[in-house]
Amino acid sequence: MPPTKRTKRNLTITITSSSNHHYQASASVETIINNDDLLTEILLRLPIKSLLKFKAVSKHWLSLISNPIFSHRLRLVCILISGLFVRRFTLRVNNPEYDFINLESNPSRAPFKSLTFVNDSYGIKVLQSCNGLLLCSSSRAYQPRRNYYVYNPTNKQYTILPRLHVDRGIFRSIFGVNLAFDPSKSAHYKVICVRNCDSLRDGHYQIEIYSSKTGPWRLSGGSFTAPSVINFRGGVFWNGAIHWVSTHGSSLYFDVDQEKLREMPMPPIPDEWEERRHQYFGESRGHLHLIEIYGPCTALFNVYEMKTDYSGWFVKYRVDLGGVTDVFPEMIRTYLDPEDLHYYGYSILCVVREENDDDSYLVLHLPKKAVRYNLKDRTFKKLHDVAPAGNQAEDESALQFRWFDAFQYTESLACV
Amino acid sequence: NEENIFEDGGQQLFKVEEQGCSRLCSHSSTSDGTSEDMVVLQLPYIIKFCKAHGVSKENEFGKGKSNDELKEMLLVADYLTIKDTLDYLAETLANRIKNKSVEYIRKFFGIENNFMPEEKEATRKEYELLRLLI
Repeated sequence: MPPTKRTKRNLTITITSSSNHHYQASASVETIINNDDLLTEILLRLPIKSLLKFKAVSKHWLSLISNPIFSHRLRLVCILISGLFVRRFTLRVNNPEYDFINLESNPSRAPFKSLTFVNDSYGIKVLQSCNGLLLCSSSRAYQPRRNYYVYNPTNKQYTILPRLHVDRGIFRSIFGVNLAFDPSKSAHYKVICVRNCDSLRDGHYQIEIYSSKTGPWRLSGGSFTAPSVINFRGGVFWNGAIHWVSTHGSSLYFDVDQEKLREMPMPPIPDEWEERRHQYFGESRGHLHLIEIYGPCTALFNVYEMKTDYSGWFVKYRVDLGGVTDVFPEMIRTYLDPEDLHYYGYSILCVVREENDDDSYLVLHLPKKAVRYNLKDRTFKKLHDVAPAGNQAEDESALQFRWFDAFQYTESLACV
Repeated sequence: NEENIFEDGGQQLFKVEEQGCSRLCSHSSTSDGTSEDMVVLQLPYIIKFCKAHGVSKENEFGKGKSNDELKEMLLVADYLTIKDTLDYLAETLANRIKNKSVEYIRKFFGIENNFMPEEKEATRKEYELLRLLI
């Protein structure tokens, strides 16, 4: 962009009498209504609840607010994480239940307790959250019978994805299904499925893609190999690609637009360790974060962030939970050795990046509660009480969830 | 991209883009100097705002102003392409209407409800449902 030329001008003001004021209330009001750009400037700044309500103002407003392009622009203006859904561990219940940890300053209702938007006899569980949309699937079903859904909890819209192909009577195993959705780039989303490849060889995979724009599942590229322990289920969408970490060997990422698979550089593993110890892997406000904890003191750790050019990870935050363990001694499992990996009982549910980085924080799960930990000034406060699962009521330091049980909830008007 | 900064007695008032500048100048009348250096404004609102804008906090300025005054200033800011003022006014107006009822919005903007009764009912039902679930 060429540099801006600034011209300074002297302004001599003569305030003419107010009888020269030409605007009359009715004239200005009409001009605003007829001026879509001006109206949009105002509407853009309204919270989503107001927008949904104001669809009923007039047909013109209905069409303005329902326009997918409008919901795009909304996304660019406001990225606010409202809360986290965390899946409760319950043995008996058919339909998984979710706690809602509210992250906004105003109290708000949980969008759902369990997923009932469609009748699935196997129950419905959340697989992944991506920029306001949730990827869900049948909860307890064999793979060939499993349904996959894309669901928007804000406007309750959902799509049932077409069934995955069966070739010559053989259903190739699914290793992971992930959602790629970036409303700032497109109103459409893609779903990436990693399956066993044709010849059913172990450790050989293939990718199939579903697009909400162009439709049915299709193969993408040839087969590829990957470490058998790579976690294809826990993919994270960032920078136009789905990222998968592996405890051994290479971690990978798949560029969704170019349909190319690449190796993702990872931080070095400390000498004495054979495998990676992920404690968190997720995305927030356009940043990819990774936390690996090796000890010896597991209350100290770094939060890594990936560079946009994939040249490597850098330490974004250094965390010391010493102050937290002082206030919440139930975190400490005194029956263990202080250098034991499980000496401190906590899990990291989310790294939340705020518009002003000084406000960025962690959501931590401690026994029976969730706590918000501010990364800059290291202050913290309790956010939420977690009722223990029935079979763990007696274990004071038990934890209910880890990072892969937590899903971000951001409000979105996106149509699915 | 050209930016023109208008000053008054050394105090920077506002920046306008090229299009707004020509509009501003078109409202001037030449007296002593060239029309480029002196602008006689016939729109007292924007000047009032900008003088206050320079010295007081943004979010206090909108307080005393009536809805009509804000709406008029928004139009002027848009016409003169003064982006900062426009953003601020849009934000202030949004805050004023965000928790109001649909009927209030119609009165505020002078909009007529052009839904058919059945459509009205459908939209109302949809909102009621969402309101319970959200």
